[in-house]
Amino acid sequence: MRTSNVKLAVLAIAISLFFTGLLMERAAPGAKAEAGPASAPVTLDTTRPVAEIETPAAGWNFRNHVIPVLTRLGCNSGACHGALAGKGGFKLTLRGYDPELDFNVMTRQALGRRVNRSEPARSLLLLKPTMTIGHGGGKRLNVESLEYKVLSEWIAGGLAGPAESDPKIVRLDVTPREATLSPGQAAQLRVVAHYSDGHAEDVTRWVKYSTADAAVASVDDDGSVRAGGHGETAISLWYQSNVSFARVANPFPHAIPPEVFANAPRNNFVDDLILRKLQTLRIAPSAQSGDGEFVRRAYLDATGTLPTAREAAQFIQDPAPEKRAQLIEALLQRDEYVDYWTNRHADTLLVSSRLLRENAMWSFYNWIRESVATNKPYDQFVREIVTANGNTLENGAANYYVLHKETTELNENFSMAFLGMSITCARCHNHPLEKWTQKQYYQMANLFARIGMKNGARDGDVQVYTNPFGEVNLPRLGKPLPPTPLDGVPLAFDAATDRREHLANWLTAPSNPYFARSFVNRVWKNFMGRGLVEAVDDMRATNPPSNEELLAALTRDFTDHKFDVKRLIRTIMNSAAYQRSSTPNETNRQDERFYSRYVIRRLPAEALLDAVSQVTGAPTIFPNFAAGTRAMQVPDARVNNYFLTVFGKPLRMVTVESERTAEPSVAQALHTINGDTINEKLRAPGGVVDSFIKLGLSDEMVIQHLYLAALSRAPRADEAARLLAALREAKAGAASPQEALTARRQAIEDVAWAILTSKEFLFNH
Amino acid sequence: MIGWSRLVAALLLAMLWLSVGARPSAGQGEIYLKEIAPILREKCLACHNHTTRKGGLNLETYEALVNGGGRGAPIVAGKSGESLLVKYLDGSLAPRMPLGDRLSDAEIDAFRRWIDAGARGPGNSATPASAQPAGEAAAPASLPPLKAAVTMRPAINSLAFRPGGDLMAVGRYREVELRAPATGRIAATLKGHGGEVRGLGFSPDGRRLAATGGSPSQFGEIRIWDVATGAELRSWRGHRDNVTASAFSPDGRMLATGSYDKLVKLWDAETGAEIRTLKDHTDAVFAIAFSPDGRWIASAGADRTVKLWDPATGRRLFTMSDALDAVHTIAFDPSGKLLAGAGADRIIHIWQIAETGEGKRVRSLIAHEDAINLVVFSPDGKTLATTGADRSLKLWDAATLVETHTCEKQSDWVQAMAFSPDGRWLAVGRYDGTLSFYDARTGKPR
Repeated sequence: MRTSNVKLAVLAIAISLFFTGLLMERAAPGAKAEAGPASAPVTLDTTRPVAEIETPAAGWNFRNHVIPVLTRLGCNSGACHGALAGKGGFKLTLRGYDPELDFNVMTRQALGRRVNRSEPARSLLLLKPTMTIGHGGGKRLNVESLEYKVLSEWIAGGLAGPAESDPKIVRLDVTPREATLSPGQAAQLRVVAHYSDGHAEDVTRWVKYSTADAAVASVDDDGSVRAGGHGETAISLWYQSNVSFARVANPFPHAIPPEVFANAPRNNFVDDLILRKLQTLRIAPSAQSGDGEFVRRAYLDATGTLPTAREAAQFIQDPAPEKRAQLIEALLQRDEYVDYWTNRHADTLLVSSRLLRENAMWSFYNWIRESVATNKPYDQFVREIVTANGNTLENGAANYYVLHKETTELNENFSMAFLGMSITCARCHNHPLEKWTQKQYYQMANLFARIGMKNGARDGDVQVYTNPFGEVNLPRLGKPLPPTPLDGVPLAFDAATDRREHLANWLTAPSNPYFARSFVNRVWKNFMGRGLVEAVDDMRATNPPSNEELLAALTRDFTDHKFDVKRLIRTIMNSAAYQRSSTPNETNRQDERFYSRYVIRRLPAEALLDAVSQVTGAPTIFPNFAAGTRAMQVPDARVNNYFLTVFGKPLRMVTVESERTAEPSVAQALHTINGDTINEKLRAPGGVVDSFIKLGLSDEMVIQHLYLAALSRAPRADEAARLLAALREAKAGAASPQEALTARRQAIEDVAWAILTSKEFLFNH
Repeated sequence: MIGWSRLVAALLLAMLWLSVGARPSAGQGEIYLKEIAPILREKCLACHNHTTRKGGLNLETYEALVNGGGRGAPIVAGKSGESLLVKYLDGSLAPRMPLGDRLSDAEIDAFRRWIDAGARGPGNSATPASAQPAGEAAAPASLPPLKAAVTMRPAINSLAFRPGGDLMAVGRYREVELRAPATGRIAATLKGHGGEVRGLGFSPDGRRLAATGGSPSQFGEIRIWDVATGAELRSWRGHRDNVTASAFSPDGRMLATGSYDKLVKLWDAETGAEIRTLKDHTDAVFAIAFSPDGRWIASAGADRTVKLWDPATGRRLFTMSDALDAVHTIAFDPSGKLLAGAGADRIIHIWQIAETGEGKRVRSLIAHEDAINLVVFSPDGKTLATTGADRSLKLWDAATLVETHTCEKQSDWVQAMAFSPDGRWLAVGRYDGTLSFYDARTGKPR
């Protein structure tokens, strides 16, 4: 009996190892870090008992040891001396972003009161945090700790300051890089910092840890991870403006036979990579979508329009085995595709008559539209914006600079648009979660220092040109820094190369780690409902993708094929993952991150309004724009339409994805149900209901048409029966044939209203 | 009620008498030092210290504890049951202290036993309770000794020429050097200070030297020396933090001190008696100056203001609020009509002082690339010297603020600076302990 129990247990473990271990290196919790190349000696291990830690031969380094200690103790946190106003007269830079300044403050400022050069043990820097004398921040430092050893020995060792020659961190290694845990299980992370002089330090104790999803795994100050609920999360690490992360998976307890994954459809590399992830996490994919679901979503996601009743019916009835791929190909050739993606670009590029004259706004819009229509390679598209010069009415791209008169604003919107990341924090201090420093921010900003503009002959006509002079100062130093893209190569102040040319070369290089990747992620989200990195403009190194291999593969495919946007879209749309049903199964109900099913979402404002107009046959009139202009075709963010406002069309004030809100609101619900948009369109002369009556369609045909037009499917038998009964009933109570006609019309409007206010219509699924 | 408060007052007086006058034996005082003070330090000082003072209560020292806070005296000696301190600790009064935490029964019992036994303090204080933090009286607080791995040359924090110019005083850690300016020979070293000597001033007759300093966050200290014999004439402690600057009144009778504790104090330079405290600064005081005619005292500090006071009454006459950041340094010109000030805003401000004491800024200039630490007038008032965190040393035409000379890049921050009385030399002392002389006409080093 006992024996067989043991056997069962072993078997269970073996099975679990089979599912998790095959595809992911199973982390040994608490495993000692592999320190990197054997040539890098680990000269300091912060995890060892303090008695065993030797003082470095060169003494403790201010930049590499003292600042990390202050950060670990919380001294330079935003709540304490790192606050903008400091605390108690003692002000440090937030998380030590300016070691030179901190050094002066700690050793010399306020008459050098904080250290005692002659009797180090009497230094305020030690007396206060140990609470030997009163300290507003309470006791922070133990005399027996490593941190005390570092601070006190640094003082006693002669108060050496930061130097240009200090070794710089070149990378952080974290082990385990990936860990698979079960609920409640703990694992210890180890972080080794590698320095430019070849030495390495285990800095586990001084790193700042945070978890992306505390429900899946939590992490404490010492890098000890504890798994919670099922799923996967990233533990991000921040050390001295260097960042990295470890991935922690906590697979679901489902027992899914391997055949589920082996037999799941695989249309291209996307599917291999998604199924691999799903198998690791023990999530079974949903079944493939039906043709009706597929045609509706493909139209909406690629072109922002609904298929007409006829298009839907044709597709559903088409017997061709390759019809999905054929439909995708056809959609990519449509004008509505151009409208839709032009609108998407116009959001990120802030096309609006708020800051542009109307003719200039059109010029910018038309330039984008032309670029989309010709499937201009994305790198070329952006290069033309970055290096734009000339007359803004002739070169629409140049309007990007007319929109951004302030360099800091330009620097920040530019990074959001083309790198998918916010560097705004670094304007005032080093980014607290990211690697970007204030210096890098202003080095980047200085690339935009020489954009000249003068008014042309007409209103809206601006001449954009490159100034021979001009610098952007780092305010703290009151002087400029060499213009340098983020982590890029600096350009000499007096270099002959145009600074924007230098920026464009860096930006659009296939090796740029952010540019193509962030665009691929945006396109992916358009189709899959959720970015591989979410949010799509929060591409921090500490916010890793839910499937790194997939994002890397898609990006590589994109750059390998000359930034061909249509190819990228084709790849995504043809994948089995895109074509999955949105109906969950038993194992993927909780999954919203790993693409085991199609993620449902509300139609974007413009698409929804156009869908209502299309189904009701009553176009929306936009003042100042030609009749027949669809919402998706309106070039301007300033369009006076309550429906679009309520459903979250972005105002294009700043480049941020969250400007387009998909959040539900009471105003949306009320406007859908009671508002004039849907109701007026249903009553409109020449609209769909009018046509039904003029054409003399039967009740069956009316219902059939409305279903196909709005939902891209035929009504189910029970649905048809109920609606037919309702239409019959409406007529039955009528006193005269005339009244019966009126009652029927009213009832048809009611049926259409019910369909157009249903979730199935409002949502893409 | 009346009876109760009288009783408290009487007990309080009795207690003070006991602790200060009667000098209880070391054994009684030790309970406070060994049992009570550590608990206060660990559990209470985060909120009840001299800067935060939650509820007006400071528990850093025995005297401060006895003096109590907004709710009155916390201790009724001999009666722990009536002592507010115990009532807040055991929860019979809300909020129970420490907030968000609680003392163990044993710890609360320690307080009860100590109060019932008379609530004696450390018992070795010999100066007025308000002036001297007890318990730390013997020496500034220290952690376990740390061996300095390298010997750092003690910084120079203060510098003064004796009227006549035959002698100069150089203030360093715990000592003052008396030097012959011409040769640099050290004539005498005055030892025994409690910390860095940050203020030096000769009396107008040149016989006495006031050396001020103290220990940061602990106490201020003033020592008066007989220059001829090197004997200490008097020394006393005052302020709750170190003295940052000091100045003799032109008649030599009064000494003004400014401290990191935000206060300016006036002392009888002969007796050491405190004359008055000037309280209007809201942050650390960094600079003090008497006008040459003795009518005014100017003080300046981290609250970005320069204040002008009437030393005879202690009345504040005017506040100059032109500076954009902490003011580190001020100086009157020899006429007493102009006051120069500078600090973290990198700007030299020149104010004209009216008969009423009202100051009006007449000139200003962004003068350095980083905070300015010192500004001094030459004895003829024509030249202004400034130095700052950018490690530069500059000479200016005081009337126009036109830069006349930039001296060599300084090896470290200049923390002390003075013109020789004949106006020929500018002496500078630095954080790295070095001392240099520059020709005041050319800016060249001697």
